[in-house]
Order: sequence, then structure tokens, then C-alpha cells
Amino acid sequence: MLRLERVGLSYGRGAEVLKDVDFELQRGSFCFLTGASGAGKSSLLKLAFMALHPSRGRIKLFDQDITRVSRRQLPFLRRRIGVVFQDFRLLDHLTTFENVALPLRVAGKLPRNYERDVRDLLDWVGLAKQADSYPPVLSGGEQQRAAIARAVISKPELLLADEPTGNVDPILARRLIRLFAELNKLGTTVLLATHDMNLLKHVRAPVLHLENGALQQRH
Amino acid sequence: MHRPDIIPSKAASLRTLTATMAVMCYLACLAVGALILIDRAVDAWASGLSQEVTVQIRVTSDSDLQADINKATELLEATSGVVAVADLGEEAGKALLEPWLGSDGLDALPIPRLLGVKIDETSPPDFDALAAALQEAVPTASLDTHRRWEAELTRMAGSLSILSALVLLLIGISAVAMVISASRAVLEGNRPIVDVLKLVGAEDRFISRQMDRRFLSTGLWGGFLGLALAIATFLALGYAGWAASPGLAAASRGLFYVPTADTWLPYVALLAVPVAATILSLVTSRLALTRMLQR
Repeated sequence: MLRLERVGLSYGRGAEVLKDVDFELQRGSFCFLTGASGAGKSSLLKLAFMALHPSRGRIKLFDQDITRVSRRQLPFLRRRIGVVFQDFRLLDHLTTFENVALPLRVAGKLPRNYERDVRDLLDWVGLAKQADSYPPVLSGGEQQRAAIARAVISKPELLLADEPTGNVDPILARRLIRLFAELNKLGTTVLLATHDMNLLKHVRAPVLHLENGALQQRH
Repeated sequence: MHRPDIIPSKAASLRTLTATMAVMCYLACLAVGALILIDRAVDAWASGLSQEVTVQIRVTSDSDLQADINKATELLEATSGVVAVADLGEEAGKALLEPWLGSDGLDALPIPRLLGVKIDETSPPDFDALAAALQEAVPTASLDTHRRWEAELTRMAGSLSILSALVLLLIGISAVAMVISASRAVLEGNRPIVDVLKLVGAEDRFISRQMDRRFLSTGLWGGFLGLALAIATFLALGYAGWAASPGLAAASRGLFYVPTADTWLPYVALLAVPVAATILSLVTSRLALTRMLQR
């Protein structure tokens, strides 16, 4: 599914924030990515969803070398990935419904073909009543769930989540982790970055630990 | 089901571009109007000149002026393609010279006599043959077909037409530059939204399409506002500008009211300006945005 080979990343001419990262994420797996703030977790996820280009090394995603893929192909590869951002990145002028439906709209689907799916998903993440509300009036937890719903609405093969529980209370954090585990059971490969080691207790999954840009694998 | 704009209209305010586009279209309409007026004026002058030629009979010490006039008139009237011949009289010659020489002493000068010759435009005479025949019959007579003036006028009008076309071209180039600059501003103003769209798999052309409607309405509003201002200017010149410049006022009126074979031309040409502005705004913004998104 996702394979990084001797990947290095530096911003501009600065020092490398990721050094010789090597790992493979098997299809259908669930994996945690841990490390202190600034260890390089977000950078690694950005490489995985092609928001950044590695300084060296090779990244294979869905059996394609994404360091060599053409610009035209990028949108189509991204549609196979769901991303949950630490800062949600919901669009404030769109309702919760429209935010969640955005990946489908971008893919050219008509409302009549996705309205039911979006409403069902909003119901599943507990946001049915907030479907017509705008992000600024949602609580942090609600925004987080809307961001997760947007990430999974198009049934991605790979789900990348960057500190998805960073802004919510421990109870909601546990619920969100269970939500990710449910999605994983439905076949989605999940890579979840967090600095909260308590979360690891709720799902038995391999852990990739980043320290000063270098990766260590723990089970 | 109503789908809201992915890129909010408030965020992509293009009021400044609309106003500048209106000014550009106003100038373009004036240039188009000038082009049409020049073209019509040349047609009118050329037609007037080719309807009439002049015969000049010089006065010499050994010639009988009246006999020469009669002989030339007879010859001209017998020529096929000549409709009428009129002796313009001594006063016409004097009137022509007066602005240069003044009225004093003109009587003492041997002022040539002019014969106005009306020509059948549909089957004009052979001017070279006519000139030769006149020269032979009346050695003091010469034929002036005004061809030199006609050529001068056509050349001058051609230069003015090229100038108007250049002005139109410059307006077009400026408008393209403004739309590119506005596209950049719109893109930068909506960068967070554009980033999210890219990350959920939007293609560049999908993103640029989200801004199409705004540039479409900018082109339409700017174009029709400019056209309305230009029509108001032509009308104001046509009615109020009479005292200041009767020629310009008549020309402005003539642009819309004088029935000619191509009465529709000003309407179509002026209407083409907002249409062109809309297409230019839409196509330029689409190309510029797609290019910027690829960086």
C-alpha cells in the first residue's frame, strides 16, 4: 500500500527533518505513528499524501512511485487517500454537509448520487443534527468528526490522520480511536499520527516511532 | 438541491477589475466608433469626388476665353459618361484664390475658368482619352479628376484606421494584463481553500472553474457598463456638442441614425466589445489560474 525507501526530507537548505526513513504499510493494516512534537510526524504524513516531495529516497503508493508521478495524476491518487488534519481544515462558508460532501463534489458526482451517503455518514459520526450548521458554530469535537467524515466519505483505501484527537477530551478521543478501528475493519488502511501514548492502549496495532527524524519500529 | 459556491463570492471581490474593465470597454467602444466614422467619411468623400471632375481653362494673351469655354463644353457634353457641364463662372475662381491672395488686385490677374463636370458613376468616361481630346481641341484646357486628392484622403484615413486598431490592440493587451493580475489576487486570497481542494483531489481545471462565474460577470458588467457610457457619450456629442463642433456632432449622430446600407454595423460592432471583454476575461482568467495552480 505505502512504502518509503531511504526517504530524507529537508525544508529548503535546512537540516533534514526526516532521515533515511524506511517502512512499509500493508494493505488493510492499522498503524500508529508516534513521536514528540516536532519529531517529523506531520512531515511524514505530508509526504504520504503528496503535499511534499522528498529530498531523497523513493515513496511507493498504490504500487506507483509517487516521486515520479506526473502532476496530472496527483488528484486521482489523492482521491484514494483520506486525510484528517490536525487543524481540521474545514471550509467555514460551507455547511457540515457540504464540507463532508466536498471530495465527492470535487470528483464530479451529483448531489442526488451522494446525498444519502453523506447523511448516513453524518448520522454514524453523530453529526446528523449539525448537517446544516457551519463549522464556526461547531464544537472542537464536532469539527473533528466532520473532518473525519470528510476524509472517509469517498471510501479511501488509505486513511492518514494527523493528531486526530489533539483537540478533544479523553472520552471523545477514545470514541474517535474506535471509529478509526471500525473503518479499518471495513478495509481501510489507517496510519494515525499522535503524541498521546494513552491512545495506544485502546487499539492493538504496530507503532512507528519517530525520534529526531529517524524511524524506529515497535510492536 | 442548491450547492453553494466552493469559493465564496465575497472572498473573490473583483469590483476594481469590473470598474477598470468598464473604462477599457468605454475606450474600446470609442475606438470602434471612430473606426466606423472614418470608414464612412472616406466612402462619402471618395463618392463625392468621383461624381464630379473639373476642367480648368487657362487665360492666355492670344486665346479667346469664351470660345475655349464653348468648345470645351461642346466636347464634354458630347462625351459618353458625362451627365452635365456647368461653367462655374469667374467668381468661383476668385473665391478659390481669395483666401491665399486676398481680394485686392484679383481682378487684374488672369484667373482660369472652371467647368464643373458631373459624371455618370455607373459608366464613367475614359478620363485619359477625354484629357487628350480636350488638350487637342482646347490647348489651354486641362482635366482635373481629383484622383490625387482621393488617394491622399484614402491614405490619411488608412493611417487613422491603423491608429484606431492599434489603440484597440493596446486596450486588449492592458485588459489581459489586468485580468491576470486579478486572477493572481483571487488565487492568493483563497489559498487556504485552494489547498484543501487540492488535498481532496481537485484537478486544476476544477479549481479554476470555481472562479469562472466571477470573471464571467466581471467581463459582462464591465463590458456593458463601458458600452452604456460610450453610447451616452455619442448621444451627448450628437445633441449637446453641436455648438462646439458641428462636424463631430453630426458624425456622432450619423453613427446611429443615418440610414446607410450598413446601418446595423455600429450596433453589431459596439455590441461586440462587451462580448469580446467577457470572452477575454473568462479565457484569460482560466488560462492564468490553471498556469498558476501548476506551479
